[in-house]
Amino acid sequence: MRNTRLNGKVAMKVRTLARTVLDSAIFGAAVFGTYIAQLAERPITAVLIFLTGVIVIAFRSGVVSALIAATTASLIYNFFLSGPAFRFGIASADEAVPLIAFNVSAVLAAIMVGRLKDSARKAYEAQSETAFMLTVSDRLQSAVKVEEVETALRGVIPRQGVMSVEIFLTKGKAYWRPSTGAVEFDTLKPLLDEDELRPAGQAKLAIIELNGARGSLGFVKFRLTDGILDRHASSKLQSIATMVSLAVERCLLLEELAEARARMRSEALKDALLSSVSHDLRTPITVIQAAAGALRSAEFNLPEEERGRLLSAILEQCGRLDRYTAELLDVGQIQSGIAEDRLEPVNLAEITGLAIKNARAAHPGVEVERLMSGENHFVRANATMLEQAIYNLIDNAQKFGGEAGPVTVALESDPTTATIVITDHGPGIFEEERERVFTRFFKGKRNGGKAGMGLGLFIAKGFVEAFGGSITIESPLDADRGTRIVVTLPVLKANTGMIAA
Amino acid sequence: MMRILIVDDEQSIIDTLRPVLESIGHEVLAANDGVQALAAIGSAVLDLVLLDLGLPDTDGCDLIHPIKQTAGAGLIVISARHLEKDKVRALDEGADDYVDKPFSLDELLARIRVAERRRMEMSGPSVTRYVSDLLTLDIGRREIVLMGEPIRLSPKEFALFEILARNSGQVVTQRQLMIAGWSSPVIEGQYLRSYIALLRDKLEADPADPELILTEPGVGYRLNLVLRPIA
Repeated sequence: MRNTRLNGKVAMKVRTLARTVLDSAIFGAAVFGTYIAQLAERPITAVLIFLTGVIVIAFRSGVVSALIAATTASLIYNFFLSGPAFRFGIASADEAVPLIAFNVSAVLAAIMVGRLKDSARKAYEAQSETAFMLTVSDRLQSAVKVEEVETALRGVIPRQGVMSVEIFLTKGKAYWRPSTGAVEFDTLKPLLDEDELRPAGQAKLAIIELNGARGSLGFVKFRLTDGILDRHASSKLQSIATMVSLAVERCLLLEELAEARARMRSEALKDALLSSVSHDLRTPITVIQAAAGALRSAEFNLPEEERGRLLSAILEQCGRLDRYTAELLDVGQIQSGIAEDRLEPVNLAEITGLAIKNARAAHPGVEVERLMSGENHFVRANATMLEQAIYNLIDNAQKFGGEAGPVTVALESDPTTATIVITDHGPGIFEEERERVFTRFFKGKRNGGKAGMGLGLFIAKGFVEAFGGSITIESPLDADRGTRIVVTLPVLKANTGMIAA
Repeated sequence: MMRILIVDDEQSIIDTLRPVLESIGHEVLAANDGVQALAAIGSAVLDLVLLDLGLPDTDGCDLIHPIKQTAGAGLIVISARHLEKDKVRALDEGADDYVDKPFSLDELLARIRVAERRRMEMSGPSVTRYVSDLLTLDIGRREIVLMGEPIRLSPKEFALFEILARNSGQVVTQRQLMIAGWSSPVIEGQYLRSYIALLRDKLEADPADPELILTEPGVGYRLNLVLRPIA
């Protein structure tokens, strides 16, 4: 940084030197031309050539060079060219007039040229200023998070006397720098110049408060190359600060909007979950209450057969309530975490066999094919929970894929991993539902009224993951049909298994 | 006696209610979802619909309009969601009453009887006189006689009592009461509560333990009285 500034200074000196040399050459040429014209007895030409030289220098290098050139020219003219030659002094008014005209036109020309140049330079500067401000504004527009505001400025600054920019936002009683995430509780510290690498006195800070519609947002800290800020530079920084305020405020509002939307979505989700749970729990209670009421009252005078059906309905709904309660308790266990001391070496083949047996009993109409080698595979798990997990997966396959053919359950293993693959030939799962089947209370569109609470797969996944395993789902398998659920569990080393067996 | 359509996605509920309702003489039709319900509404003359708001394919509230328009049947909403705003919405859209799941059979049958009574008897604005064993109401002459004693009501109190009486036995939402009393559904709830308290002071034996004007929390009020219209 300092090197480039140094290089800049050297380059400027070289340019000034080159200009002086060229101006001197022009002056020399003019003197020579004048001399020739004087020798040829052409005094007017001589004066005009001289004047031209002075004006060219004035045009090129401004008032100071023009004045030096004019004074030197008038001295030379006086000394060499006007009579008496080789002596200063004015012999007649005839000779004084060109001398005065000479100086006056040189000075006027130089001043006019200088003014033109000044206004051209100002116009150029104003234009580049505007372009700069536009760039700053464009960059700031591109930021959509407060974290990006400072980064957006980084492309346009350092420039024009500003070395760096830091943005601090008010956060309660502290300051927060969004670009780094740093929170500064010492509110004075960000206001200080902590850049110790720079020699003292070389740079200064300009700190400008950021004001939004709802009051102060924080401040922006500019580190400057030059200590002194003229009025122009300070108003420029003020403009940048205003644009930063606007950008920060816009980003904050965008974030608030996004948060509000997310809150609304989660509220809607919570409502949906609650209404789903209340529906699932209240339906069996409604049936039980209505059936019991009908059985108790003599008013209805129901035939014996109908009374029997109502009693069966009560028992059936009690079973359903019991299942739902168990499922909710399982979910509670998963959410509160399953303690390590409830896990023990478990024979996966035996547990899978038990789950298949229970699933067959629950859905006698759906065949379950068993593809197991008879080998024992030991995993670290809780036997009841593992049985529940595998049962839930088979039950799910039977309910939603069992109509189309048998469900197959295959168990295989290698030295590190045991794999259970449950395959059905049902209609499969919609692509957009595949990710969500393992979420709580999810019920698919194709459930055909067979769904329970939508907890079975969530519980299966929760238990299997608690045992260090994983569940993946593939659907459809071919021609838009079939679902395959793959459960993998880490296998215990043989000797551990022996102990448990 | 009535042809009743039960709309519920739970077959077990239909299976339980059907024999009970049939045993007391009603004819029962059933629908498991919105599509079946609309088909039933279009194809049969119905007296009463028991509508579960939580259907798999439709928001139950969307069925209220077709039921009232096409079938002209009475409508009792059955809700397991228990969110006041759902019930209020259903009632404001035209449902006559609601029952929460789980309900006792006695409660449901009482609501069905009220709906049946309203269907059998003439009702509507042309009726101006009602009687019960407890009180008589003459809307044209703005007279209420409670157990032989004439009761003096202010115009606003009378307007509120009139709408409760015209819907006796069924819930009247706060919104419906506000429109009846103030011609505006957005008045401060406190006004309504004050006027209900005034009515209870004049009508209830023990205003602190009301038996006539019952509160349905978050929904509205119900006049717990069998009022029969007379010509």
